[in-house]
Amino acid sequence: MEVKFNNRDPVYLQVVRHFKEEIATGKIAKGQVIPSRRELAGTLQINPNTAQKAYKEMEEQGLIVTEGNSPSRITTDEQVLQSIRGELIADAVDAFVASIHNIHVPVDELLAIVKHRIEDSYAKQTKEGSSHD
Amino acid sequence: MNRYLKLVHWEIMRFWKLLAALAIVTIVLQCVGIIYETQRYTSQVEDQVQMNNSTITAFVQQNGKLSFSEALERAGLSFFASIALCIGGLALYVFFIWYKEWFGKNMFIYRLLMIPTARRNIYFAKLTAILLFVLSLVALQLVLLPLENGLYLLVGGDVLFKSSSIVDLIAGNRILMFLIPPTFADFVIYYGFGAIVVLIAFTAVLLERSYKLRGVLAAILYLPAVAVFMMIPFLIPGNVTETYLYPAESFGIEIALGVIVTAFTVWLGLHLITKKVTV
Amino acid sequence: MIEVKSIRKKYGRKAVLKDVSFTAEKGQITCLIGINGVGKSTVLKAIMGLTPVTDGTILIDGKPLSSRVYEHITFIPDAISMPPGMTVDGCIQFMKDYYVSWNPKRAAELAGFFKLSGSDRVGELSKGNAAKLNLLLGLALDVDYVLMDEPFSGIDMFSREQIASVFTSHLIEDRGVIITTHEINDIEHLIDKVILLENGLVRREFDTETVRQEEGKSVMDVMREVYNG
Repeated sequence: MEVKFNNRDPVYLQVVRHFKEEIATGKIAKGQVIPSRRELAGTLQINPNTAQKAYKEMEEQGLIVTEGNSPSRITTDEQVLQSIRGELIADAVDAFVASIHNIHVPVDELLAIVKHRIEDSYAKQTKEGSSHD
Repeated sequence: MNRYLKLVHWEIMRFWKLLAALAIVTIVLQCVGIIYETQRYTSQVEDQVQMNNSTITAFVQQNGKLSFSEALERAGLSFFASIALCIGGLALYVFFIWYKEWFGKNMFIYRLLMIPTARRNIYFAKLTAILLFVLSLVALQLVLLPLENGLYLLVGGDVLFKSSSIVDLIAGNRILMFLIPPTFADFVIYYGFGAIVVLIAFTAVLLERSYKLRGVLAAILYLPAVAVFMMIPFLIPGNVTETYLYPAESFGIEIALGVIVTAFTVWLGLHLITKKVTV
Repeated sequence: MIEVKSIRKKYGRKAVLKDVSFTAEKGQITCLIGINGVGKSTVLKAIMGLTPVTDGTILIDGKPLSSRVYEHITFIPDAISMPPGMTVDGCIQFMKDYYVSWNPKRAAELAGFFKLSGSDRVGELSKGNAAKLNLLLGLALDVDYVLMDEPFSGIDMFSREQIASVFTSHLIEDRGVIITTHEINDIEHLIDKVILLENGLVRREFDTETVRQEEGKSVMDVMREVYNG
């Protein structure tokens, strides 16, 4: 698990987002036990307080559940899990729209560029993934 | 083991090599001095006997044998240089025992001041260490004298030379009399005075370490201030002290003044190391 | 909590600290930032009672510093403060002798993690290893507060990473940490709180996550604002 943090967004929210991505892409399964805050701090190289805060946020959002003394797990609530994907997509698209808005590109042209780029990107990812494995 | 004793141990561990070096130099210098002196005296006597066409037996009958005490007197500087060296070395170390903590890029003073114990323990550990070093060198000298007496006879033979008792040795020599005082009262006076000097030096160093240049100035003024204070009885107009007081009384006053100076000097030193010293 | 209240410090006529106040909480990493010579180290030394302040008060968990507090707070200076002739083991023994709060298990763990050899002498250690030993001597104490003066300055990349990883571990967890630095890059996302010092004054005191969340600014952004504005 390696995350490149940017310095302008709260680190704990970046951690939450990182978990959402992992869930959305199926890298973490529903119901899976998550690392302790100490382990998380170690692997992500973050302050244990930040890890704590991230878990608290995730708990509030219903992403993770803690029952009694057992370790925290990713939720099994399908509704929550489904919404994560939609939320991530919406966030990314919102950010994209906000930055492209002022350029006034015709929608068709823009979609074509996006299509081209994203296909390239996926292709590269697949290639890298296969060469690594 | 409490932290004061640990600190004393620590100070000893850090100086024992230098102390051992001083001891070895003392032993070597003194033994060489004695051997040299016996040779020199022997050849002097032989020359004289030859010149006068006399015999050594006749010479001894006329002049007596050279006692160890007299030999030390004749050896003079070559013998007492080692004592001067030890005194000088320890005198320097009175300052160095503090300044070494600030030396180099790895300043030990940080650690020392952060030891979880009252800072007075650091101060008294250093004082104790210095006094122990002094006493150990004096003890060495005391042990060395009879041994050297033996060496003296061994090398020189008993024709020209005779031994001296330790009491005669000390009584016959001003420096030894000072180092190893004949009475307990003298011991208290000499070493008490020495301890006050060490304390004043400690306070001077701590003044400098706390206030830098201004501290140096204060330290320089402190010494004459103490001297004047100690001489108060003699400075009173009309020579009251010498006229009206018995020597024992003026001595008592001096002791009292000495105690006051000591108390104030220690108080100031402890105040500085606790509240004012800076790394 | 460490409370620094209106401290002033003069060296001769020069006022190094004019009016410095801030707090550092337990369980947080507080970072004192400022250019060299701004008095960051002086603040740490003042907290530790290693240099007297001209004015102001410093409280540690509500109490002024005393020799007993040295079992609860420790300071890691920018250079190791042990005699050059001493071995690594000798240093560890020294600490064990004097501190009740010394934790031998943790010391051994740290020595292993940093790969320090017990028989090496302080004076012969590389810069990186000296910094690691220095850190070990402070972090193996079971103290509530750790003050570190420029833990990253003048050491190689690899040692920096190892030292940075200490900040994300249980070695720091739940303690109050104050570190000084003149460059924030290595640790920007590690710190909870920033105190910006300039000309002997606190220019700004803020929580890093709050500033990111509410203003969308990085620590560097805030620094630029303060120092250029």
